[in-house]
Amino acid sequence: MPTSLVTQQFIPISAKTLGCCDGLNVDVYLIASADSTPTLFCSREVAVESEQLRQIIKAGVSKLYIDSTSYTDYQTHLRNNWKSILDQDRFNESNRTAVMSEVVRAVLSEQFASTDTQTVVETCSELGGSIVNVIAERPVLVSELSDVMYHDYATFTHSSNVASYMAVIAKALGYSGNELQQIVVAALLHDIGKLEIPDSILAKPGRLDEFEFRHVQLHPGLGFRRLINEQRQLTYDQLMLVYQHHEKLNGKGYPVGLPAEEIHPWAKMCSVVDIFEALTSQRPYRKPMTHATALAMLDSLAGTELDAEMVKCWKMLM
Amino acid sequence: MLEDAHVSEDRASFEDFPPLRVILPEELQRFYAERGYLAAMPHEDRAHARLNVRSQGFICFLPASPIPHCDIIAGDTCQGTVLVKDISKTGIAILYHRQIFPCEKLAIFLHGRAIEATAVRCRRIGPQCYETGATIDSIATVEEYD
Repeated sequence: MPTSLVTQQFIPISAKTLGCCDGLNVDVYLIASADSTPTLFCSREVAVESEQLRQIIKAGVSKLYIDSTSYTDYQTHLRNNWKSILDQDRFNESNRTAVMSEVVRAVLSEQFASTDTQTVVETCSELGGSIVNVIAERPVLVSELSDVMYHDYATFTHSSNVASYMAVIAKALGYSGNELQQIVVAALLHDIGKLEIPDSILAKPGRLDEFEFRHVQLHPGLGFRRLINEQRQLTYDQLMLVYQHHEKLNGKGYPVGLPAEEIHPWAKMCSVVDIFEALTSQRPYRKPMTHATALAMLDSLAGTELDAEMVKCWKMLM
Repeated sequence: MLEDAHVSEDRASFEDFPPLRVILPEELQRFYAERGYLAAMPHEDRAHARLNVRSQGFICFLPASPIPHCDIIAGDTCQGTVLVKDISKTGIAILYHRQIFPCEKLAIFLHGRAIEATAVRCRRIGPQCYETGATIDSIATVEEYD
């Protein structure tokens, strides 16, 4: 990926998502390599031609670029049109995971900036339904999802990724229907408490000191407290996923330090994919790990901190 | 409020407490033999001094709790016996045999007082021993509370 240009002037967007964005009024560029000059792929006055798009995707191009000044317009377009974009009839099967990932991330970024918890929960419920529709209709591999995801450390990106991963593992573990959707919705909300932690701590490039770490450890409880009054929309099980997703089987987790038998199974499931997602994403203090390294790390935690059966299941889904 | 909560050696008003189910870890057994004010630790952000209380009290989980814990956990009841650890002007720490969720509403009956509180945090200390910190919403005598 041409990182130097991306970080300076251009922002990558999913080529597959672009095909579903009728009426997107921004210039779209193609950047072949870090040293190459951006080439105008499609002007804002012209609709993207689906055949042209299909050809570049076939040629291995997964990301196109927009000028950073147009990114707000792009995000706004996704947020305003996400329901129609995610309408299954509008995009073909091979595009679905990419479009879903990008749209969920964009909508979540807006929602997480809101203080209206009820609307956040309502929107997440709809997004959860869309994720389940995409994941449930055919077998989706973790690697396939990971390829189309963004891997930055923003809370909305992480939550969006964890929710998609949760749909995959929960489906593999036999959950379906309403229960599957509840799990995915709770996963979208699992880190909502982090929105109350200062960015100076969450984005700190170095190691957290004890005070900062204690602050971060408050986030499951903060999230639980924010969501608990939304019980008309959220179940006890969903709240347990949010509250307990940092508990460890050996009792050394937080916020409570529960023993294995008292940790909710949905929270155990979330722990596995939450750690995997964190390890394979860019963090302020380290680069993303490869899937193999992250899986080896999960393996080393299986049985002591993570549920061994769930880790095993996750590895089979790669 | 702090003076109101002073430990008295009188018998508690409740003769029919359910049996205490908390298992006290060894390190806390010595703690329960001590009394007096607790020194604040340098890393704590406490607004008010805490007073060691270290008494057995009676707890009721109030129906106003957003999580009706006793309706969800099979075999659990909405009342029981707690060990009160310490109390300050605005908060109370108790030990109970199971976890208590943040936002659960409690009434703690201690030495003729009814203390209504809202759980804020809970930490497992050992098997059947969970320390819960709660903010005090009101204090009344048991007679007033009834």
